[in-house]
Amino acid sequence: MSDTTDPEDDIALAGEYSLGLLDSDGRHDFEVRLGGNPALRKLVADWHEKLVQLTETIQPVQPPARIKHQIDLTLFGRRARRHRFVTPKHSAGVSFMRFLAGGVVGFGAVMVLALALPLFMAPPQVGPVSHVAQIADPGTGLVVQASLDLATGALRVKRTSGEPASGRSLELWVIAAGTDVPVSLGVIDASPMVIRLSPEIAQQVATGTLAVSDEPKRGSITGRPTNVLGTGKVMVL
Amino acid sequence: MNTRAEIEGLLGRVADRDRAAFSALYSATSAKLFGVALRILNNRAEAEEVLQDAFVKIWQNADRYIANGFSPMTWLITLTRNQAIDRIRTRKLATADIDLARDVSDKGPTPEQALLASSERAQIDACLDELEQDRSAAVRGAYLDGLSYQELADRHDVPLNTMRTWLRRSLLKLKECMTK
Repeated sequence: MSDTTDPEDDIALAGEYSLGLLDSDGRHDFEVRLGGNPALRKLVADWHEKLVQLTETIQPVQPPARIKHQIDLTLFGRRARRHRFVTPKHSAGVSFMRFLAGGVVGFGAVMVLALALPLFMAPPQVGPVSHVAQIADPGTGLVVQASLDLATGALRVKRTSGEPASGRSLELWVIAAGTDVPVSLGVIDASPMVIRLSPEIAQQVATGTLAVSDEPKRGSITGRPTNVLGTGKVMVL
Repeated sequence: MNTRAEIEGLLGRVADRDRAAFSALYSATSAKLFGVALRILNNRAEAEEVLQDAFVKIWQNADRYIANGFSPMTWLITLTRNQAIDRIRTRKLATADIDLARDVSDKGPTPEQALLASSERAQIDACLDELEQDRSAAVRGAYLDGLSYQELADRHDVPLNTMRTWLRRSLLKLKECMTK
């Protein structure tokens, strides 16, 4: 193919690309050109504006309600409002348990300490509590206590000692039993605070492990904990 | 009925991680996008999965919408179509017989719908009608059924290079017609 492309060649090529007709080599070469070529990108956008008219007579069909629930579960781990941040990427990256076991300096010590600590002084409670957990990090002096009312899905979280680093936040995660994928429960931006969990997530908390990580101000932007400070197995009261 | 400005506003808020806006966007657009997925895939279970994948991508990529230069519904429909076409390509790797996946018999508008729509026909329909019937069918087949050049060539019983030439010429004519 010559370097100087006939404008008509590009119009047709952009059309073929938009239709999905180029083979993988052709598509790759075209996409490389698209990267540095606003005029070519405009051609593609133009084609899509034209071709999309072919969908005008397609009738809308109401999807089943469970699809939205599934999307929310995939993206946010639960349905409650407090979740604000990016999804845990379940398929990507190092497994959480390997991360815990191998990578973090001093983490082995934290694990041992967490198990050795007495269950804890029960935090002031609002309503019945069925499960509790304590997450402690001797390195930062952080202690976070959580109490769950499984019946209502209310998870009360209180930071009894220690603080997030300046300009950063603490984020709470649940790791369901039998998995190693942490699901974000949100940023601990007040103490005490109550997080409302869906029945499914409440169940995961009740039988799982909670973790607290140190994150940028608005929470992890990768969907995975970037700096775990501590974990706590959730216990039945 | 949501206006372009409303959808655009919702997309902007979704880019800012506004979940209420994401739910509102879903309410406003999911039926249309599901219809598109059903039309392309002719398979309800696959269309449901594609719809889910599409909305996950919409959440993850809403910030790229503005940079793309598309109008909002075009962006949403194109994204959904791309997911559906990817699904077709995967499906075809798994099975030689593409008809196995079809379980929806009606593919197009009913005669009543076609009659109603004819007065407000999209410009592309009029311009496609100016092409010869098999050229017009080839463009539609590529867009709405995800057919490849080889499949189009087989369907119309012409050599591959002939189909390529037909398509390219047809695209140029279509562009010219639609730019009037």
